[in-house]
Amino acid sequence: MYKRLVPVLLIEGERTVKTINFKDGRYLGSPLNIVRIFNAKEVDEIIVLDISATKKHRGPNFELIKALADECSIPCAYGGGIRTLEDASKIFSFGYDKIVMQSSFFDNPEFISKVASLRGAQAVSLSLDVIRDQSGDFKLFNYINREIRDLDLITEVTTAINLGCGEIIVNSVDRDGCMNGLDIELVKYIKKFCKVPLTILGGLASFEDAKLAIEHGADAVGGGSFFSYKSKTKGILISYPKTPLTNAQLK
Amino acid sequence: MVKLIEIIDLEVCNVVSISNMFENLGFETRIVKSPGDLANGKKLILPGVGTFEPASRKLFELGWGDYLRSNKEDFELMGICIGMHLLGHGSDEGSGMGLGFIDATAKLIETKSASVPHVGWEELEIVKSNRTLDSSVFNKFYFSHSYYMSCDDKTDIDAVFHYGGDKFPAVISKGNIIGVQFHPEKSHRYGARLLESFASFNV
Repeated sequence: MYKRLVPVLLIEGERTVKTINFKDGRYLGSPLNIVRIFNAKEVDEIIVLDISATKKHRGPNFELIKALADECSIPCAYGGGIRTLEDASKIFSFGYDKIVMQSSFFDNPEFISKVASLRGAQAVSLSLDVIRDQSGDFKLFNYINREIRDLDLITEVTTAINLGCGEIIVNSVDRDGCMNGLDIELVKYIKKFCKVPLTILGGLASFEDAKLAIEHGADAVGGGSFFSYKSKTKGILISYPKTPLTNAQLK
Repeated sequence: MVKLIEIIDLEVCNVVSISNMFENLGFETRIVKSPGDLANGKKLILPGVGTFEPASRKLFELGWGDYLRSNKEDFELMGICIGMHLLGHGSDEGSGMGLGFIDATAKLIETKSASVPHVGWEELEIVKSNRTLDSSVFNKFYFSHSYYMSCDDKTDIDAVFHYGGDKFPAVISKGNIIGVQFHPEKSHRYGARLLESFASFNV
């Protein structure tokens, strides 16, 4: 049984960027070129997130995301600015296997069940951004206004799953772009309440990090910097490990 | 000889990735919405992303149910994911009929430990070879589903995958009808090889 190691591409307009703590997006290159490289490297899956769509009150950039899907003979997911069933249907018709929701879930949780009843749970992922407060507790972070949401993380996870969500993607804001390791405590905390696949994101710096998260219950591991930079000195080089992430490597 | 692959479009399914993969392999494809659109009707793909009920409804509304049942000996058909589930009698996922080509019903995956939906890559354990599946080479495919095909006749199962301590059918076939639980169109070179061998043998 393989576990997924997933490059997450952040796009702003027509640019691929890499953020640090959800700020200061650094330009990495053209999304089309980067997706082509990942496809050629036969990555397990790719997630494309337009982090500027909802911020700028616009919908998905359909032209770009269609072009990206056309490059993929691998599984792909898209998130950013999806508000309606029409948006979702259009994205699936391009060949995306999953759509990723965040703002649309908080504004209208029922949207998840609408998409899931038509496309199946496996086609709907919920992305949650999590930040630790001063006492180290996990809080939901709103990347639009950079404020903490007055909601309980586990309650939201449970609600989403009950509505038909088929994957929880959890992203540590404090570790984003820092390459200081994944938040294993966060994996353990959510896994207890999560019967659907759990993907952990934020801080990935090595293959060992990914294995550790899998050992603690993650079904998949996402990363940005790890696949985009040559080392911690951050020379841009798109790469992907040749060894698959499997259970056989686990104790 | 260039072969024509006709891909059945049930509107709730994704057809583009499949047609892209066949085109990249040098095959000609047509996306067909109703039996009247068929040019050849020899090599058919019944794809599926979505849920059973809307897919089943479309299958019969668009005339495919009657057409495929009446002309069963004339074509080679591959059902993918929900398309595979449509080859059986029905699904616990929702109401609606299947084609009844294979004695099977889709049931929810229930395991002690593993997450459902089942999403990810699996190596197949090939139980018996068929014309499409080459057991002599390494096979790894991408799965994305919550339901699996429970076959009444276990000899219809050609390959299984292991998940959560249990085994589930990955490839089933009966004569000219084949169903795959995974997504060859998303399984890069492994999927391309499978689609190529499906497309290449003569009917």
